[in-house]
Amino acid sequence: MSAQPLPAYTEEQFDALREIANIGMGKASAALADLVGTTILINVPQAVCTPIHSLPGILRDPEQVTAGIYLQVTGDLAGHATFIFEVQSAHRLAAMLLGQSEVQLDEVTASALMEIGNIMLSAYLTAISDFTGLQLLPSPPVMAVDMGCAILSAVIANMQCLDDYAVTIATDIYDSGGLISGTFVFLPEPGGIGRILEAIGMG
Amino acid sequence: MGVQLTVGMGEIQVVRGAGNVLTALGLGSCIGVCLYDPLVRVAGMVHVVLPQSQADKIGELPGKFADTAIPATVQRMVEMGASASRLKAAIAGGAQLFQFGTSSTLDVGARNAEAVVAALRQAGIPLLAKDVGGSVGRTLRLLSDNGLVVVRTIGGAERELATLGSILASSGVAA
Repeated sequence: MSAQPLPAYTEEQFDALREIANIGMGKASAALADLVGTTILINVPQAVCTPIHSLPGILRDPEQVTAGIYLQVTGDLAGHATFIFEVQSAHRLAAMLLGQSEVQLDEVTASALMEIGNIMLSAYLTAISDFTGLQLLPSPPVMAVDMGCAILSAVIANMQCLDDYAVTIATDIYDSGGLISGTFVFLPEPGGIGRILEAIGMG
Repeated sequence: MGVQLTVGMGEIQVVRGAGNVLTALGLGSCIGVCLYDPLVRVAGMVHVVLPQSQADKIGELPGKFADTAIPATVQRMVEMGASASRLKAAIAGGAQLFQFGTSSTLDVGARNAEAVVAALRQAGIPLLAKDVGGSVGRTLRLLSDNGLVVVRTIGGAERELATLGSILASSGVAA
């Protein structure tokens, strides 16, 4: 991505955010691996300040049909977390969780996927809470199946993001067999980043 | 030769001449607004994210808010040789992808659609067609040749929403 960090945060601070996101995603991917019984890998998280118009650029194919699981974060800092799984991956994840060979995307599957989102985000937030001392809580998940960039734009609109830029923490989630492919995006509310950095003495 | 431009969240793109295509990918609760002057073939698209700006938060993206997006786009088009009085509009988007519980119902999509329609009316621009609401995302394209507006949703083929350059299309839809 070509986005420049806002002057408000230094490269060291973004490094710290990446490290915190990495700790959180490590736990989240381990939680997913436990759930579905396969090894789950993650990329080193990106932490950047992105102009909102280029936010869908964090997705490999913004128009691809995806299952988006969206949870709000409340507590010491507010934020918006979205798991975006390519739709075939979402089917596979739900099938693994439900112990079936194949599933349709119906209410039971949607509920299973939302539970996956819930468990992964809880693991992510618990890890960050332990590290920073901040209390972070997930809201109940909601899900939509649509183009990845439509999912992201709905999240942006829902967070009433009035700024031109959004601090974006993003990680790819995948397995070694190429069966599962998704992206986790965390968008803290303005001010939230400052609070995380303060909590670890880098404010 | 013509260009193909993507209109990201809060962006305004304006082109002049034939052969150009403006695209807003995957509009969720956002609204894509197509404006077209058939005489000089100036086409504009803006990707509206929220209904209402706040005085201190307009920033560098007036296209982000319905109330500032329409005047800003019209101005850009006039600078490219369009006449505000010849502009025709079509809009798409404003869906509600996530069904939140009743307590937190905050249908940004519907509010966006309302605000865009109001801003177009205020600017005196006829709205020839709209495809708004529902629960699915849309990709919107505007062709500068004749102001053809096409909409695509997941699992569906592209379909024509309007031709803003048609001489028959002179009156607005009831908004």
